Amino acid sequence: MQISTDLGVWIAAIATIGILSFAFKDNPLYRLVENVYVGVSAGHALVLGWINIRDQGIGPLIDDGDWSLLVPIALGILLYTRFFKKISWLSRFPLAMLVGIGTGLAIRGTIGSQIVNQIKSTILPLNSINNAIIIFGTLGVLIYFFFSREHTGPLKHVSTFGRCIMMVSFGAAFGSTVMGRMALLINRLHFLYANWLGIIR
Amino acid sequence: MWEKLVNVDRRVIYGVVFLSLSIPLIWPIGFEVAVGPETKQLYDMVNNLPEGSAVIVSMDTSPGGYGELSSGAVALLNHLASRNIRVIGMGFFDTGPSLLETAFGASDFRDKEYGVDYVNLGYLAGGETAMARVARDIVGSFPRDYRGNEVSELPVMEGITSCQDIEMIISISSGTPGVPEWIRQVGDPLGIPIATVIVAVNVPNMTPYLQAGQIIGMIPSMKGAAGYESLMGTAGLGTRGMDAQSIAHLTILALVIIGNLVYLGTKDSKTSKGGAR
Repeated sequence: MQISTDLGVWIAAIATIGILSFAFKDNPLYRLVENVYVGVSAGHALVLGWINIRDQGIGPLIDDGDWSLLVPIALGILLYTRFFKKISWLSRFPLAMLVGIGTGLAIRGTIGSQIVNQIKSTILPLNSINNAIIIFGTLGVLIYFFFSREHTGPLKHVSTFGRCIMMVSFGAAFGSTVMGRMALLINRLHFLYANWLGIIR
Repeated sequence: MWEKLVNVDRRVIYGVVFLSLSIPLIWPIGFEVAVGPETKQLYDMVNNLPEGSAVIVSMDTSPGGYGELSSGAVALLNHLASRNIRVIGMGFFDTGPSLLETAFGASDFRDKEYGVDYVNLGYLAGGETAMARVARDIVGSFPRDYRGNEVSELPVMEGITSCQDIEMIISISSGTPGVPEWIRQVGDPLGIPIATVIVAVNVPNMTPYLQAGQIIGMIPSMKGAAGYESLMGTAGLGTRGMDAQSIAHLTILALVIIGNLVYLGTKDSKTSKGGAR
């Protein structure tokens, strides 16, 4: 056993214990660490945001004389007009542009990647149990969400099968979530036992 | 007895889970590690990359997700280092680049030369829109790297202008923007293979992409990291953590069963007393 003499490790260890202590009871150490985390995150994001503006906008504008960058810089400044009631309507222009470009880019990719390619991947030969589950599972779930006709007769059975497939999927998601949360805790415990207390290698 | 179990303090359960994780971490059991096919696919893909080729490692996560992803990220970086693959690091979460520095420092890249074998290009704001820009022009998107160097002058960037000069994109991902955005903007339009080190909660969402071939491999959480370490013949945090993970899962399973038995027990006792049915 060799306890760390590194100040950074001690700060991280105390912060970890502070956050984990909330599981026992709300306490001042937890609130202190939580506030420090929020503050550090906000400060970090602010600095990186400024670096982006400097490297992508102001830097090339001044150093290379790229005057076309005045347009995005002006649009960026307009976003802040929302803090001034009389001219807050100006912030709608850059916002509309952001939403338009973002949506356009996402839809362009979504149709190919998340609709066409996903449908293609369900067109499979019925030569294995896996393929059968994929084909009939997809059809069952789609029919479960088909609301234009009452789910009676054969449609009811297919819809119930679709619901069962979804329940299996939710179970897998829950199991994966438990696995993920445990992995997070293992990582922090390993840090405490190995890097801080030195009781494991 | 049922009433006592219903009203058990939640902190008792936390304590049981804490012990089930701590004891195997301190005294490892040595459970066998199973390697998933998705992890093996990624391992084979990295093994088949030509020496000196370049891959993008995108740290699309925050510190909250990195705790779960670090073991897989380090195992994968160690493999890339052993194969002399150039790593072009970047991040679309503001905390990504600093976590990438941590990952490089914890992996065998710490013994490689920065700017020659690997680089951390830093953070680019804009999410999916920024990824679309990187697909066309990497150097233009990142004029300076995370450490302030001119990216165009770095030897590691030789012959690389866009994502078409990249062999593979690896997203170390816990949220948005992440794998679906990479697939939409780079993977499918340009035909660049996408792989991921991913948090367990997102594994069910990624499986359809894997099945469709839109992702060529995956390291799911600590379990995937343990599998990857086993393929490489090493034992890192993934392998060490799996004993604790297995015991914790058994504990959770036991708690779920006990919870259901208690529910049934209290239901029966209420019914026999003429209570709620």
